Amino acid sequence: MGCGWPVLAAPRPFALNPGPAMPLIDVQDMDVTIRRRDGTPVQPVRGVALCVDAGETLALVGESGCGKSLTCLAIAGLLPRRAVAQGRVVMQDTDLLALPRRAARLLRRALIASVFQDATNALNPVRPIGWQVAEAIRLRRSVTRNEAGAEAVRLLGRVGLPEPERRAKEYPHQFSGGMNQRAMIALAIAGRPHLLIADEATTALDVTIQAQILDLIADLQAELGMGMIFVTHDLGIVAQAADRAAVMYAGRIVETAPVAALFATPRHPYTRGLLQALPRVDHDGRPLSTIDGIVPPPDRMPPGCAFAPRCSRVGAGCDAAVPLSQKIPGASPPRFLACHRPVPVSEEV
Amino acid sequence: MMLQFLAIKSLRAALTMWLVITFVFIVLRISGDPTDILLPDDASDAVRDFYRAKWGLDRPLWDQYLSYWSALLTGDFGISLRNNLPAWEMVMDRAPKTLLLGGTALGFSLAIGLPLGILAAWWRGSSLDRAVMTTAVFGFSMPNFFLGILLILTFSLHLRWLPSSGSDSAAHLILPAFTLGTAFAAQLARFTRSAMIDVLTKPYMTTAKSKGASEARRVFAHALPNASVPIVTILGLKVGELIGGAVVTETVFAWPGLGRLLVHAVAVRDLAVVQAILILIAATMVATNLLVDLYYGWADPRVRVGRTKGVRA
Amino acid sequence: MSQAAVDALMLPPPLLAAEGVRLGYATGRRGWFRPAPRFLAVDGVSLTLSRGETLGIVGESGCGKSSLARLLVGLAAPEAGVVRFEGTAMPAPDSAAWRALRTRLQMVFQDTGAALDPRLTVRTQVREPLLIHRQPDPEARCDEVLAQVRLGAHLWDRFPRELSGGQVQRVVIARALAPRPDLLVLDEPVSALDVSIQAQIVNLLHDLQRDLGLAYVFVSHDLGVVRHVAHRVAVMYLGRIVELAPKAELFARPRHPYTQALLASVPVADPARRGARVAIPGDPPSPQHPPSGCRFHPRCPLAVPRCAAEAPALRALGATDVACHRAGEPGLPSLAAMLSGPRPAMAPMSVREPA
Repeated sequence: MGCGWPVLAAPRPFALNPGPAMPLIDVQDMDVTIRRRDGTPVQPVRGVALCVDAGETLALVGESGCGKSLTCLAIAGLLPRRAVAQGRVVMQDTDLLALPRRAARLLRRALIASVFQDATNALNPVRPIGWQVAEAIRLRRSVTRNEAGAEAVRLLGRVGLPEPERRAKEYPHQFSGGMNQRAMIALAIAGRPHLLIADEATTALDVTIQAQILDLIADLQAELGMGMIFVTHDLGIVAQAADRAAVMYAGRIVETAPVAALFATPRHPYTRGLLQALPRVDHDGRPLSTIDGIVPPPDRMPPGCAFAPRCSRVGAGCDAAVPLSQKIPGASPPRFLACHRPVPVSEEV
Repeated sequence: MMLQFLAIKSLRAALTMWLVITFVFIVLRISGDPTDILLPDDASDAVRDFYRAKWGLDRPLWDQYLSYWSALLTGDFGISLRNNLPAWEMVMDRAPKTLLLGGTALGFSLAIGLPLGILAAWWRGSSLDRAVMTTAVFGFSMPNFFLGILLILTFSLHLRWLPSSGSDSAAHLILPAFTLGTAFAAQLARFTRSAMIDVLTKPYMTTAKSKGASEARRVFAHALPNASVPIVTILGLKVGELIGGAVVTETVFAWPGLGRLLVHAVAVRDLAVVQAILILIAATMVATNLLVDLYYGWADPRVRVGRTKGVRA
Repeated sequence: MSQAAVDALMLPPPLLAAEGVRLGYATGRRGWFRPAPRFLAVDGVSLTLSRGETLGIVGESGCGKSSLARLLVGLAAPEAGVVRFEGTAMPAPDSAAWRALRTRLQMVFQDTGAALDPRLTVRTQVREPLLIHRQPDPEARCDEVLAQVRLGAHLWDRFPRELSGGQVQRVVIARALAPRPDLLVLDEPVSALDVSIQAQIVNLLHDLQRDLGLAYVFVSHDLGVVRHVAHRVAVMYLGRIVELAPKAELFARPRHPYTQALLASVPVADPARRGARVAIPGDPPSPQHPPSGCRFHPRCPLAVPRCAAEAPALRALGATDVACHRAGEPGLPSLAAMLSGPRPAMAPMSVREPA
């Protein structure tokens, strides 16, 4: 497992670490800077480090505005023009952020695909569904228009669209949200991506449809061996669909761990707070514990740990320095934590 | 669906035409007596009465209206009071010239306005964007007649590169077409820019980018088909302004088109000619609107299929 | 006088009762030769609510839960059936009697961003309903409810845009509480909020109910939240209640296949229960063209021919009311059992290797 390696604490020179131990994607110390309209820069994503192996699903969890979507847009090269990513995003021995624009686009086109939250608006309203899938095929492989069209119909059938031949000629507004998300997935897997980024891909869907889409994505992942980054705010989806999870708060990853370990023994006070604030569908609970206060906006970050003002365990030193993400000694598989005063393992969740 | 759509639109077009014709007829009749202008000041009452009877002006208004309609339906637009030629022939004589001028101006503004608008939208906030938008404000805030005279002074009188009046050669077309097209190009650039910016921020543009489509492909295969709907709408609405602008421009450049004919015919109360021109203009506008509606149906599948699907509580 | 009638006289009427209410909407435009197409968003719903009780209404989009909420507060008049508040039929919307009743019965809408006037301060907005209803000492009452919803006093003279999502929701709740209502109808009150903020609001609603004896109708698509706040839960599917049960009963022994499907679909935040989730196939049908008989039958793995022919009525099964022909049959397999196990194998992808 390539991602068993220290991620942020000791950035590896990738050339020294070849072979199967290489993760599919290795993001190191990535910042995203946005220039506001008045010219002042803000940094909604800071020092993000993560990696994903082939066939593995990493959940990127956090509340709105934590920077999880921007992180994915930066990896996929979809940032708006006012935003810039710095750092390293390494795939196949190549730093995507260091490549010239066209080369980066072509490499990403071959390796990465994205699925977005609002599939109905993520599809072009004036183009037939089949056309849009066929375009994705034609952009990645040299096939004729007819071959691409037939391929698109097959893909639409594969993602579970009924009557794909007829449906391929229809438009997004004639589809339900779930059907559009299926079409969006067909479009994403058309180029056999190595990495699939699903940005809140099931959030807008009803729960029974969400279950179908989660199953579909899991099937496709097993079939194609894709690595996945699953961006979500839903801890239920994290528990059900991910192998590892990275929890983001105020632009930084505060804790990374295998899902079972994260839910059993959350070590960051924010992770624990999230888990205790969640109303559970599987049992009647105690009153929900809350995290008081609100997330600081990116231009008014407190010094030191950004969570300190809301943290129940805050103490001396928390406001002095930003805690660095470090490997938890002895944890196997490895876990990473950025906290000055972590939750002791013994404490109940 | 399509047939019903066409039937409704045609019915509305016919109603519009009827209203225009009736309105023009009545306004022209009550706004003054042609004999006052066409006959010498010292013409006797007997002479005036003779011409009134000859032109049918002595009959009651409703009677004139009915006979006007019955003539119209047989394709007879009446006789010019001025020179006894059939009004329709006079109009058709001039129409190609105006069509040439208007068409050239339209083509010119499309060739300038669309690309500039698209570029400004794509590079919004850049110095190119600011330059285009500043020029555009300048372009459409300059009155036609002023721009025309400025051009004549510069290129005809001072530089002596281009003729200032008439319609004998292609060189004659340049100044009036530029005059007529400039304001339109400027508005088109601004409108194209805002329509494109609206589309470029839509999620499906991010999808197109995530497919790895090139910038050109994103603009022409994804953004433009969506932005074209509002752009064509505004084009349809602005054709009327183009016609209005033609009247002024033709006068400034002595361009022998419908605009000048209209100004002249109104001045002398040449009823049949005025009516024929106005009917032609109205028909052009109605036809343009019909084309725009058809374009919606073709370009936007949401209009084509109707909006009843997908309503949720 | 029959015994039932005597009982009816003895028992106080429930705070709120709906009896066979129905509400339809026009969809699309009227043609020249046909009326506008219509669909029934709420089709014959009956329920009751007691003082101090929370009734959760759950269902997916298009099931009619928001329309039902509008009927229950009298914002819409039912086409058929009647809504009673303390035994009296709900007056027509916008009548004087209805306006008088508005102090007893308040609604909190889903879209909190649009619920507040951006040009008015928090205090002004909360005071407004008190002035409208001519209640005594609006200033003091306003401060009292703002304190009750635990909104920091430094925020009382701010404008909505200066507040976070959770703070806005507190203001909306304060404004609803100001006229001292007995009932709050809450339509997706926490859906737009992040988990940590959502927990604050859920706890606040819980405390307010305990302190003030409020009754809630809590409309939500989030089964976790409903499990946390409700005493009884009604599950809706395409305009009808398919199951109505005490919360413990509903989550422990869901009787209707749709309820089972809904519960089985929710991803549980417990990695140990991975794979317990199952998905029922199919999209919900369009509310404009609901299926015959039981509206769930096209997606239901337990459906028998009777289900397509005859709409099941709500019937009591233990503490549960369920509208299913087959619920309670001995030996009936649970839906989860029928759907779990390996997913049907799909045809392998026919995508060739990239050139």
